[in-house]
Amino acid sequence: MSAALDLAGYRLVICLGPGGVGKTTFSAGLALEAAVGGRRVDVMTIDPAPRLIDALGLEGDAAEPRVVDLDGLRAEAGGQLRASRLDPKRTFDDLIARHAPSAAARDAILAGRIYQNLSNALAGVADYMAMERVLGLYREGAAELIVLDTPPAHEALDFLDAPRRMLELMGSRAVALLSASRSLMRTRFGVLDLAARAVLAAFDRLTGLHLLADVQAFVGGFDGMYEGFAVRAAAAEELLRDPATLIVLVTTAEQERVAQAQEFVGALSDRGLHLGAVAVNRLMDAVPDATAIARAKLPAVLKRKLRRNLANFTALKNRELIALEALRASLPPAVPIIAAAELKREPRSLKELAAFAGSFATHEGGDGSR
Amino acid sequence: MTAEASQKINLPRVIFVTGKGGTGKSTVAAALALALARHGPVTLIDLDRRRSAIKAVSAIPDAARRVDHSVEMLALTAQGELEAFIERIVPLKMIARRMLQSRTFGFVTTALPGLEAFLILERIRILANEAAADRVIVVDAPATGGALELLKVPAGVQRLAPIGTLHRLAAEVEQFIQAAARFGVLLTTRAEELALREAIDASAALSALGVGCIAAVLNECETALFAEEDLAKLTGLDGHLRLAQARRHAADSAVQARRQLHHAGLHLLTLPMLYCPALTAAEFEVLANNLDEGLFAR
Repeated sequence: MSAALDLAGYRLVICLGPGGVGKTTFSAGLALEAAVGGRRVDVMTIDPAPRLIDALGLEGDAAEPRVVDLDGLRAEAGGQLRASRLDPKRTFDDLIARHAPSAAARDAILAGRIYQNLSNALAGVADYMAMERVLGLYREGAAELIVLDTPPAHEALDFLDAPRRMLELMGSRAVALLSASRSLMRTRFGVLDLAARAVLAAFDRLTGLHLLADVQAFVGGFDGMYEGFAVRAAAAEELLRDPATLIVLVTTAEQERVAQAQEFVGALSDRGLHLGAVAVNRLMDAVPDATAIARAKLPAVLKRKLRRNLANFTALKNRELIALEALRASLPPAVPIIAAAELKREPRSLKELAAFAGSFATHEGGDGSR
Repeated sequence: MTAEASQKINLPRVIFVTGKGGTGKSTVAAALALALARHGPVTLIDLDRRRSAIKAVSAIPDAARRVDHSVEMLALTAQGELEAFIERIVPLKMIARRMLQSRTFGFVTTALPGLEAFLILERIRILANEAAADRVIVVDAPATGGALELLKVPAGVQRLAPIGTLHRLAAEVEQFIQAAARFGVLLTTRAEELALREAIDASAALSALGVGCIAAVLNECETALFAEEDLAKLTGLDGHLRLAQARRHAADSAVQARRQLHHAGLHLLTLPMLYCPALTAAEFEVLANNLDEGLFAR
């Protein structure tokens, strides 16, 4: 088990963070380490890189968890890793199929133009589906620990807001509004909603989209499914707040990413969610001591090169430290920062992934050696 | 600055800068705006909610920008464009505003596929059409995935609306992004496996969309400092040997990355790794110089 991040007692780890910080690789490393440590672990990845697909054996359709062969990693007894890839569209289809009141209602929704475009159009669908899948795995109970990689968050906390947003959409006045008859609308809804509907209708006529009817059909199709959705979304929301759920924010020490990570920290606390740890990926090694260059018996030209190289790396390391200090300052003191080493290349095998996970260490600030 | 400067790479009116997260997209967009402002007027459009490119340029004092022309800066948001659009089609301002505040309306508009993205592209098209002939528009676009989604929207809208006003508008926007003289994409990348793959895949996706790819910008290229025989002499200096190896590895990766991008048929602009604790006006000048040299012949 990682000395840096003790996962004992946790049943779900959610790795959140901006895009391009190595969230998927980090999640996979964390899961692998826990499995090697003797736990039964499920890792659900989103859009893994080709190397990681190879390493985890996720080729082809890997929506259902597959057992990863841990041979050669000296896993402790009982340790097991299962990996899967999220397919948001398929998860959504399954969800509709499960909750639709009839086969006809199901088919009407699945074939609709709105539904077909919804996965791209409606922000947070992929996020909600990730949560939905986790809920499924959680209930299934095959794993002691689930590690969840999340879709890259463009804005604030798409993932955490997804269940609530989905629920609001399904249960909102939008559904009732669009499926209600005109006479019912007059009695139940305000002038503004009527205006919204009128404008949409005008928009429809002007543009030739004829979308309003489709929207109505779509939300109408959800009639009777609301209950099922509401229960699932509430369970998802509850899972986020469960004491056995650990939320890990993954970032890098680049200035922009740190600024984004800081926004995440604020958004988490706004929602009353507990941040368990921050993982900083791709940290440079500490720079060596300059005096060794002076003492060495080397040609002057080479010494100059070494000094220049040292100065260059020191400047980059300082850039990193400045960003890390800013990050530390924005975190509650109890939240640990986990440092993960910079990789020369993406892990191509489980061994390389295990080595990466082995680099995770608690970062205590300052020069990193305190 | 130089009337005789001619373009080495044909630049369209709108340069849409995208790339994988962490490849310096906003930094490149900002530096590009500064480089182009040496030759003519520039508008920098920021589609990023964080306004990174605009912040970067604004942080550089005018005196340190060393540009001959002003850089106009404009932040566009999906919400803002939607509001402008609603205000255009709803005659009464008060009703339009109160409607936009209605959550119901918000839900319905999110369910209209790609409407917001479409409105952003339409706005860029209008800005490009209205601008003076020598003005170049640099767009700090979303990261690759989001940017490609955005560029697919005009075709999608035409499929959704087979006839009517919106169909016509969408066709116009599609023609606009497909016209090489008017619109092109600049892909930022780094000498790193995933970033390179994403850039190469994106260039293929762009040609499938019929959208021009101006060039790839290979950012943070490290230069070789040590020869192989240097490394052999460093036994016993462990930490320094490791750093020297890292430097060589990074320099080799940059060479390979160039080859790979070239092989993929992309024009290539390279930017050096800047060894500094923070990007200040001086660093942006270095980046702008590099882009200037890559884009213009004297």
